[in-house]
Amino acid sequence: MGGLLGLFLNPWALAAAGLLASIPVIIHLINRMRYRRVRWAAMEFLLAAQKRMKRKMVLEQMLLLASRVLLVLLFGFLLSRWLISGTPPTPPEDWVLHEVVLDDSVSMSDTSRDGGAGADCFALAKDGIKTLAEGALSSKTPVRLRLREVSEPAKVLFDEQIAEDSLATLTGLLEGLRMRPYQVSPAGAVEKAKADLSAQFPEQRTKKHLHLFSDVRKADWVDGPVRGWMNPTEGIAWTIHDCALPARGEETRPAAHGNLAVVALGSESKLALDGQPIECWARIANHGRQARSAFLAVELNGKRDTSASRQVETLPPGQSVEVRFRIIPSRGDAERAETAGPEGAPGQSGARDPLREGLARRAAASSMAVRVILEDDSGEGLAADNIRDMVLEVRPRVPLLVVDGTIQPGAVTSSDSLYFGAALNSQLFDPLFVETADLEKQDLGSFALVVLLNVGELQPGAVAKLSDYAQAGGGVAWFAGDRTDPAFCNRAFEQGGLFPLLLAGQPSPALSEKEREDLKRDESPKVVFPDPASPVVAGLLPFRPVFRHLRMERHWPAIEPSRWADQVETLLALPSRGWQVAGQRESMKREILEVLSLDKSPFTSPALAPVLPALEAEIGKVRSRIATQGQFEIVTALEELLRAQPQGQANPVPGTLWDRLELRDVQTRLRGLIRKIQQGDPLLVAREVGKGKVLAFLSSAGPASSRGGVTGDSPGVWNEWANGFLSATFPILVQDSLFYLLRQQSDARDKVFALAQGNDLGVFANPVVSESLYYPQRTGPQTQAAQAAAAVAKVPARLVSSAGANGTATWALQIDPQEHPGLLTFAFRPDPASSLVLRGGSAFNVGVGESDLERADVSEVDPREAGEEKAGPGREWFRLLPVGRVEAGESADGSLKRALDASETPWLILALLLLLAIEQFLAWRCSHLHQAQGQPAVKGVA
Amino acid sequence: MAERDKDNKNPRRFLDPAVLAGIGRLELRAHQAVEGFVAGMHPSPFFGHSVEFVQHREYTTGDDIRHLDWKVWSKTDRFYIKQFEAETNLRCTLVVDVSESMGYGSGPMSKREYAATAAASAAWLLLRQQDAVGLVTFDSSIRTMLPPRSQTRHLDAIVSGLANDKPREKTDILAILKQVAQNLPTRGLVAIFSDLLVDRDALIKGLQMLRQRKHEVVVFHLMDKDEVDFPFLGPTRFEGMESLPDLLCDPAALREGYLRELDGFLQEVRRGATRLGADYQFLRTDGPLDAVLTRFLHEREAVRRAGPISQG
Repeated sequence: MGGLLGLFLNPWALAAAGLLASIPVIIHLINRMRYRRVRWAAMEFLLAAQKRMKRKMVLEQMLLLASRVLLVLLFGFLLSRWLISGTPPTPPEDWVLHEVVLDDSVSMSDTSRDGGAGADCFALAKDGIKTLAEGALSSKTPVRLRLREVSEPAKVLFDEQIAEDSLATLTGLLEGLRMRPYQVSPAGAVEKAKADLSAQFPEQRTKKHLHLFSDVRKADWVDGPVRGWMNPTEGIAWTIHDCALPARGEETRPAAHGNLAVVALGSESKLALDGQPIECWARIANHGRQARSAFLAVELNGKRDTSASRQVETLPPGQSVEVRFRIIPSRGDAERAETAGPEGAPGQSGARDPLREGLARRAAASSMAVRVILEDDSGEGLAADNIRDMVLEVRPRVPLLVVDGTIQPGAVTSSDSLYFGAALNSQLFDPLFVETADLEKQDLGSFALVVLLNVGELQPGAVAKLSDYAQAGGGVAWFAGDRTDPAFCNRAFEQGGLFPLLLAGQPSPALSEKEREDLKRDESPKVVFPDPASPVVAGLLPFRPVFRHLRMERHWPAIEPSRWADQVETLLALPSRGWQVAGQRESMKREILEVLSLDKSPFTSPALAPVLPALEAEIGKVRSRIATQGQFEIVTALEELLRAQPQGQANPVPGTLWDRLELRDVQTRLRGLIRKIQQGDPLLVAREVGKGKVLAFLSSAGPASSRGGVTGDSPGVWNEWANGFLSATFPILVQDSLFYLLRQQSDARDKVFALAQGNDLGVFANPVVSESLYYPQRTGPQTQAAQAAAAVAKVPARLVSSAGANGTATWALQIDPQEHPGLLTFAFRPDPASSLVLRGGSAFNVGVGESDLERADVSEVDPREAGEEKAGPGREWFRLLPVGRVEAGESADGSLKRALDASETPWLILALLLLLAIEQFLAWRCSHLHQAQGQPAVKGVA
Repeated sequence: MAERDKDNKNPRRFLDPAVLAGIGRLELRAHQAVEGFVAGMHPSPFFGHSVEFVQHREYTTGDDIRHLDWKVWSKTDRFYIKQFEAETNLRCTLVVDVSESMGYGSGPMSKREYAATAAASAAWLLLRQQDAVGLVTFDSSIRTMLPPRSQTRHLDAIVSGLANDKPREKTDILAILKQVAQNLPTRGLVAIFSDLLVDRDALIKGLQMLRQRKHEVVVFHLMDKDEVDFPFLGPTRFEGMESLPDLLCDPAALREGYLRELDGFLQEVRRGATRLGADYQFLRTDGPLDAVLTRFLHEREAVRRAGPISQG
């Protein structure tokens, strides 16, 4: 039966014809039942006639019926497309299936300027797909092709058998496809394509091919899972079509276009002050193999800043360079006027409303858009990653909340607040001093920093607010004192790290008079700098020699360093007391000598022979100091040793002595020894919490403590930093610490462009958006002109609320998906009645993962075992081809041997017409109408 | 309008069977038909009384009182009628087939009605000429037999005799005609009105028997137009009359054969009749009656020339 049905292209039409062929018979039978009755007198003549003509009549009727049945059957043969010649059609399970995955990620925009062609990889990929389909058209076996893009794995763009008309459809579809400015790996789409292909016709006889048209970048293949999915036992033939430029040849790793990209853009601080210069930096990566140069243009709020823009002369190949530039942010006069409203001032009654004040503080901020554009005349590589945006928050001053745990009831401030406040530059900081009980009432989001001076245990609500604040990016600074509750601090450490380390149960004991006098006479430094390069202490370094005069009497010791040392950055420390213990001191000396022993490895390595004499001289200096000098002199000697860079022939490559691989271990051990020798209890530490930072100064901000503190002892001086000999450096400590907290994490607020969605506004009553502008990044041959002409698009924005903590509503601003990366700036009112305008912004940049065009090595792509590719025909289940070189799935001999069916032959139609004529003739004859008209009935009877 | 009025006033319209069918009473039909026939003819010596007086005879009941000789009554006080030359010189017997097959009709009148009308019209025509007309109706047997009379009121009896409510099939035409011949003591004219769907040999023998007795025979072979034309189309079940079987067929397919058979039948009958010296006249039920009436006139004239006066 199957063989019989295989003789017809539309076998069901034949079945229908078979049923229809019975219709003439049925009509005949029906007609026999439908007749009229006539009472007839001259019956004998009728009977005689019937007897005479019966045979002839039956014959004629049978001929007519047979011709009609045959007519229907013949028509059925025509409709069922009876195969007259050629090969019967191939059932779908014997077709060849091609799954095609097209990489439409941003890296496919790489363009070749060879010969001025200007074709990009994406265009080459589309041409390759078209060539594949055209090859399939001439195949003997039907070919079905399915196409999808990497950016949308679940969406099938084309799924048809390849024929003339469907090829035209595919060509039109390919012409309309555009690259997406997305960073996306082909892995997802390949996995989906493979799953769909495997699910279709599990029988092994179906030939299945999976094609990936991509630029085969190393970044996608080295870490990507695609290679692991290729398995010869699954019956899928894999072909990777390399669309990258220049075209892949026989080399193992083909050359790649060098691409310059702006991979990061940031500022030293997440908060910029109006009119105050702020240092920004852009990291430019050169993914090529040759040094390049480019011009970095800087735009502020859409206008070119010529002073910040600069030429980058040297971009070494394979490296990234940080280009620093300085900008002066400005909020603009209009924005200043908007914030001067009645809501910014206390109420007439004089009562302070923290929430209203918070709103006013928020309104004082504005956004400034910073855009950098890398202008590269080579025209090589991607243009989409040459632009990067960031949004800076600009304020007149840094709003600062200072919670003082020692403010007496009725008092405005305390000793710690007094000294701390005096240390702040009023031009830069806008502090608000509150007591501990008021902390929970404050709108923490309106402050850039929160400082806790000598606070004891906080209420759980306040702790929760502070934790959320720090996690969201806020900066929290702790200044200890006698009210510090170690149990509370340790709980804060355990629950999310709001306090950066673990404290001992008691502070260091108060000094006796004798100890105090000894301390005065002690010339050793009272504070050590574990990392002199840290920006927090950079301002204090010039005063390092005079820190021996600093009186640090009491502090809170830290315990269990193993639990926090890896996460905490020690910025300042007290000197180690271990050196005072003879046993420890001698042990450390021995350890130094052991590390610096020239008789042992690595100093015996032949690689160090050229620099050994210089090393020996430097090490000799250290040895001499060990014998005679004190703790810090030895530390200084070790630091000088690590900074030593002998010149001339003794150091063939100046500046790289301690970068030698052989000396890395010695360097690490020496640094550890330096820490061990000089560094005691931490004094100033910092730790990252969520998107924010926490900093703790483990002594008091002011010189004296309050009565009745936790220590329970009499009031005493904890330190004289704020009011002693080095009081001038206390503001440096405070401000640099605070600015350190303001320093944002790299790319902490950078959003990768996928779909521009919007921003989180926070908790408000019922915000109303008054403005939302989108500045798209548009790339083109004339980038500057294109940018200048780029219209600022007012994009429709929606406010979406979601349930927040404690039944509050959290609002988010959402915009419709945009086609290009860019900047979003918006302004909104916290509620319809408010006259305040709050501003915000976000930058959506192309992901940096697509910038490196380095191409994958054959070995990183080819999943076959070594030698397998030479195993002969049938083993070529994997191919890596340059795009455009494809082969038809089956024979491409050009001869069309497809089946010829009845509908295509004129003979059948001719036979049909002939039979129709015969049927009509017989029908006319059997009707006897020609006899019934115009002839006399009986001879002689007129 | 004038033409229609003219047509409506034309008495010859009553020769049209379609018109006659609209007249319910047979007697009236006959009157109208004859009037229509006569109106179209020139004054003829065939009608009316002969002007040549021959003799008187004593009046008997039923004689036409218009022919009373009043002069003789005034002289003798006894009634005598005048006899003219052509007054009773024809005796005609109308033999009308009233069998079941005569009941078929596709037009305004069935064969029976047509035959009855034709017979009644002929009777009236002859009675007007004071010819004697008798009637025999038959189907399976003789149903009515009226001796020839010349009184005009004899037409009533003839009309009554032509009615046959329950026709039966024909069986033996020879017996019928034999009986007719036996009941006609003197020679005269025998006019047969039938579709002659009987055994041909029996029919010929019957006619022969009548001719042997010196009767003048006129055969009015009456058939319906559909029987003649056979115009049927489409599947038809022909239900035979007079015990013949039914037949479901395509009439168009059988038409040629049917007509051939019919033609053979008509030829045979015509030849048989003429061979015996009988007159044969084929009639269609859609044909006008003047053919019948004309034929009767010719026969009357022929008989009048041929033989003595027949008593009234």
